[in-house]
Amino acid sequence: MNLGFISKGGECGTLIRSIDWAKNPLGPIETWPQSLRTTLGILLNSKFPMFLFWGPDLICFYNDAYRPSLGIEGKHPRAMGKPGIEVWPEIWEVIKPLIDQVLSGGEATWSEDQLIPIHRNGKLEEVYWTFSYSPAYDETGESAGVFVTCTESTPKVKSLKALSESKDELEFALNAAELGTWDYNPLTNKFTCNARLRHWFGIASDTEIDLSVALNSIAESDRKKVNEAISKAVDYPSGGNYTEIYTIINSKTGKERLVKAKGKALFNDQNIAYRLNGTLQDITDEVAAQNAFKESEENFRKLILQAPVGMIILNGEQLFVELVNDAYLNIAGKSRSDFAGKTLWEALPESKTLGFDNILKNIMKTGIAHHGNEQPINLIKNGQRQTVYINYVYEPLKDADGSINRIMVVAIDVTEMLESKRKIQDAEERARLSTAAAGLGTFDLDLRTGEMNTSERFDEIFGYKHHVPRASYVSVIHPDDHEIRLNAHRRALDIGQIYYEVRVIWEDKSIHWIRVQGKIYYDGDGKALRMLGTVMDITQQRNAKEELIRINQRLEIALEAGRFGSYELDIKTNKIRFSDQFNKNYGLLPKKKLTYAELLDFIEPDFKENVVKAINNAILEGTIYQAEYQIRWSDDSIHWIKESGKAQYDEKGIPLTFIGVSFDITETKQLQQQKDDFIGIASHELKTPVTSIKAYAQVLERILLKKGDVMEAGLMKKMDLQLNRLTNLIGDLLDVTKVNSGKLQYNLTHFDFNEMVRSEVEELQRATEKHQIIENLEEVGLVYADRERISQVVTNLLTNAIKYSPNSEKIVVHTMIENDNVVLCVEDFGIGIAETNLNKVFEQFYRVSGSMQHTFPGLGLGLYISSEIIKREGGKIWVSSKEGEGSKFWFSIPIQRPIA
Amino acid sequence: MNKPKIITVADDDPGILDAVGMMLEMEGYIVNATLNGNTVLTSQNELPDVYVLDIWMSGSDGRELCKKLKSQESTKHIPVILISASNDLKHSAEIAGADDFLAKPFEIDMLLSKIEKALLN
Repeated sequence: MNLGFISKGGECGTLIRSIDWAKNPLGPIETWPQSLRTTLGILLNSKFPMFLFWGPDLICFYNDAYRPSLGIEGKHPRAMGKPGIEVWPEIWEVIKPLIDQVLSGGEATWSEDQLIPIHRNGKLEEVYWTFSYSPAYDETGESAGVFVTCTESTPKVKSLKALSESKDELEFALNAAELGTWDYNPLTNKFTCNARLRHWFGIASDTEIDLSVALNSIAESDRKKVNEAISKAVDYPSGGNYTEIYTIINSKTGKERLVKAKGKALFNDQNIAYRLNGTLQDITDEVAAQNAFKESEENFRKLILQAPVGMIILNGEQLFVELVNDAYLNIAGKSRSDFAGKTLWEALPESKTLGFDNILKNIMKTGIAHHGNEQPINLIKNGQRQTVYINYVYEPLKDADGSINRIMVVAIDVTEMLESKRKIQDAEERARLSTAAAGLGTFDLDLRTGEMNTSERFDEIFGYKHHVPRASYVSVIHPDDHEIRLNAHRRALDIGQIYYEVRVIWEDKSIHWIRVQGKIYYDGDGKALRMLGTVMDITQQRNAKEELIRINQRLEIALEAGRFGSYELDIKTNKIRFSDQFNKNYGLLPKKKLTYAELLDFIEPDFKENVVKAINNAILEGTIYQAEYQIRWSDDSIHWIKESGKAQYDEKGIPLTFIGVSFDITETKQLQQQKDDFIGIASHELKTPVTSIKAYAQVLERILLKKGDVMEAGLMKKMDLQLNRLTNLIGDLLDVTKVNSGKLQYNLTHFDFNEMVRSEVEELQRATEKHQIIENLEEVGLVYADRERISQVVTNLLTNAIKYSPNSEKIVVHTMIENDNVVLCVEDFGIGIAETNLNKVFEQFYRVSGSMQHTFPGLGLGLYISSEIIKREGGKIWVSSKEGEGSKFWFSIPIQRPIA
Repeated sequence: MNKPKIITVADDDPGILDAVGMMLEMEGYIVNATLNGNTVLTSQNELPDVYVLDIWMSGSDGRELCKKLKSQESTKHIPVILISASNDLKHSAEIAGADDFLAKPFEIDMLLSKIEKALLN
C-alpha cells in the first residue's frame, strides 16, 4: 500500500498516521479510496490553510497552515478524523447548510469576512473568515466531501471597523458642533469663511470678501459693537481675545440667528495683528431655551404663589425658605415675616422633631420624592396649639444642570376633609349600629349578576352561621311561601320596592317568620342595578298577631255564646261594621249590611232621640255609653236591646271609632216586667186583707163607742194603729226590694215642685193634729223628675220630722234654687242626731239606738229608700243636726235631669 | 129629713165590702155593694149619689168603669172616688177622670170625709 500521500504533511501528517483508523467510520487507511488519498496529499502539502469534510460522516482533516485558526488549547489535535458535528458544534448550524449546498449542487461557495465565532483559546471568540467551500469528488465523479480553503480575516475586519468608527466620529463631531469657521486678515481687511457661515450670511461665493460686506450681515443694532470688539481684539494690549454675541441676518432669506463669535488674533514681531480667526456658533435656540427656562421658572414661582394648595420651596442643605405661598402660611398659621429669610426649622421649630429634617436631607441626596397622607402635625396656629392633618409631597427640583439643590413642598390641609370623612364614617357606624340594634339584617343584591352580599345578622336570620350562596338563602324559605317571594320580586321590578313576609325553616326544623324590605337602584338609563334592603325576624310579632287573632276569635265566641253583638262605628265616615250576632239581635240575616242611619231607624221613636244623644255625649265626654231601648224588627215584633260602647281616640284626642256591644234583653225585660207585676200584685194582695181588717177594726171601734164600751173601743184603736205600721212596713219592704234590684220604676215628667210639696204637706197636716207644718217656699218652677218618688221622699222626711219631734210643734219646709238645682229642707226641733251617727242615717236598717230605741219603731228603711231615690234622680241628700235641738234634712235635684 | 144618700161600692174583696158597707150604713147611707164591678154599669137600680170603686177587681177595672160613667150623660155628674192598694193611684185617678181617690188601707173617717165632700159638690 502506498501511503506516500501522508508520508510528509508535517505535524498534521504525523497526527493522521498516529490515529487508529480501524475504529473510524472511514476504516483503515489502506482501504481509503484514491480520491481521498489524492485530496489529502494536496491538503497536507499545501502551505495555504485548508480543511476537508469527507464521507457521509463529514470526517474532518486539516493541515498545519490551518492549525493556528484552531487556537491554543483549541480543537487541535482531537478534531482530526472526527465527524464535523463533533468538532464544530457551536457553528454547525451555520456551516452545515453550506456543506449540504455544496454536496448536493456541487457548486463552490465564497464568503468574505464572515463572522463565525469559534471556541478557542479557552473561550468563544469572535472570528471573521474569508473562505471557500468546494466539492471534492470521488472516483465516480460524485461529491464525497467538501474542501475548505480559508483564511482568518479577524485582524483585517477589526482594523477596518476601527477606521470606519473613527470616520463616523469625526463626521459626527463636525456636524454636532455646528460651528461656522472664519478667518480675517487685518492687514488686507479680507474675510473668508466656511460653507456653513456663507449659508448663514447668505453669501454666494466662496471667495474672499471685504470685512465690511461680512459686517453687513450683522443686525444693524449689533454692528457697531462687533466692529469695536474686532478693533479691540487686533489691538495688541488686548491680548487678542475676541468674544462677542450678536445677531446676524441672512441677506437672502432674512432669517435671524443669534451667534456667539469666538476668535484669537495672531500678532507678528511688531505686535501687529496679521490674522484673527475663530468660530461662530448659532446660539439662537440655546438662548431661546434659556429664556424659556427663565420664563418657566418665573411662571413656576407665580404658580406657586397663587396655588390653592400650600407650597414652599426650600433651598440648600440648610433648607432656606426661597419661596412660600399664602396657602402654606395659612395651613401653618404663620405670617410671611415668620418665614422671610429663614430656614424652614427657624420658621417652624415645632415640626422639626417629627423626622422631616432627615427626610428632606435624604431627598437632596437621592432626588427621590417623598409623600405622606393624613399626617397629623401639631402647630401653633394663630397662637393656639392644634393638630392639623396634612397630605404632602416633597418633590426634588432639578436645576438646569440636573443637580438637586431645592425641594418643593406641596401641602394640603385635609383636616376638614378628614373630619367630614370621620363624620360620614360615624354616621355609617351609627346606621350600622342602629340596624344592628334593631336586629335588622342587611343585603346588597347585584341584579345583573345575582351576587348578593349579606350582613352577619342576615345570615343568622336565615339560620346560617356564615355567608352562603344566594340560592341557599332561597332554599330555606317555606315551600308554601315561595310564590309570595317570587311575586314580590316580580312586582319589585315594576314599582322599585320590595316587601314580603315569609317563613324560613332552619336546620333544626324550627320555623321563623321574616320580613324582607328593600329598594331597587337604577343606572342613568333606568336599568335596575342593585337591590338594597333589610330583613327582620318577625316571628314574635307574627306569633303575637296570631295570638291576637286567636284572642279575638275567643272573644267572638264568647260574645256569640253570650249573644252579645259587637259593632264598630267609624265616626268620620259613619260606616258601621257589626258581628253576625249583632244582626241576629236586630232580626237581620247574617252579613246583611246597614248604614248607621238605617240602624237607628230600627229604634222605636220613644227611644231614638235619647239613644243618639247618649252616644254623642259619650263620644264628647269620653265616657261609657249605656242604653236600653226598644227596636222594631221588620216583622213588627218589639225587642229590647241593651247596648254599651265607648269611643276610641287618636293621640290628638280626635274620636276615630265607637266600639261596643249590644245584647237582646227582651226576655230579661219580660222577666222584669213579670217581677214588677208580681211586686205590684203582691203589694196589692197584702194590702187588701189589711184594708178589710182595718175597716172591721174601725167599724167595731165605732160600735163599741156607741155601746159605751170605751175601753174596748180604745183597744180597737190601738189595733188600727198597729195595722198602719203593718201597711208602712209592707210599702217599705216592697220599695227596698225594688231599689236593691234596681227595679224602682221612674216616670219622668215636668211638674211644679212647690205644688207637689204643698200637696204632701196638706196630706200630712191632715193626719197630724199636734204639729204645725210651716211652708217657706221660694219660687222654683218646674222640674223634670219622677213626681211620685220625689213626693215619697218629701213625705218620708216630713213623717220623720213629726216622729222624732214629739216634744215640739213646729216643722218648717224650705224650698230654694241653688245653681241649677232645686233644694228642699225639712227642719224640725226634735231630739236631733248625735254627731257620730250623722253619716249613718242614710244606711239601710239604721235606726235610732240606745234608750230611745223602742220609742221610735220602724225597720229603718225610709231614709235609705229616700237617699236611693235622690241618687237615681241625679241629686244629693244630706243632714245637719244637733242632738237635743233638732235636725235639718236636705236634698237637691237638678232642674234638668242629665242623661243617665 | 133628707132622703138617705145612695152609695154604690164596688170591690172584689168581700171583707172590705162588708166592713165598708156596715160603716156607711151606720152613717145612714144606703149602700149598693157589689163584688162584680161590671154590675155598676148594668144595674137597674136607682142611680147612686156617689160611686166608690176599687181599681183592680177580678173581671173589671175601676178606672175603666169610671171613664164609662163619666162618659155617660146619665152618670157623668155623679162623683167617683177610686180606692186602690196600687202605688200609682193618683195618676190613675187623673187619667180616669175620677173626682177623688183614697189609698188602701185607709182610715174609715178619711173615706167618710171624702164622701161628704163629694156630696157637697
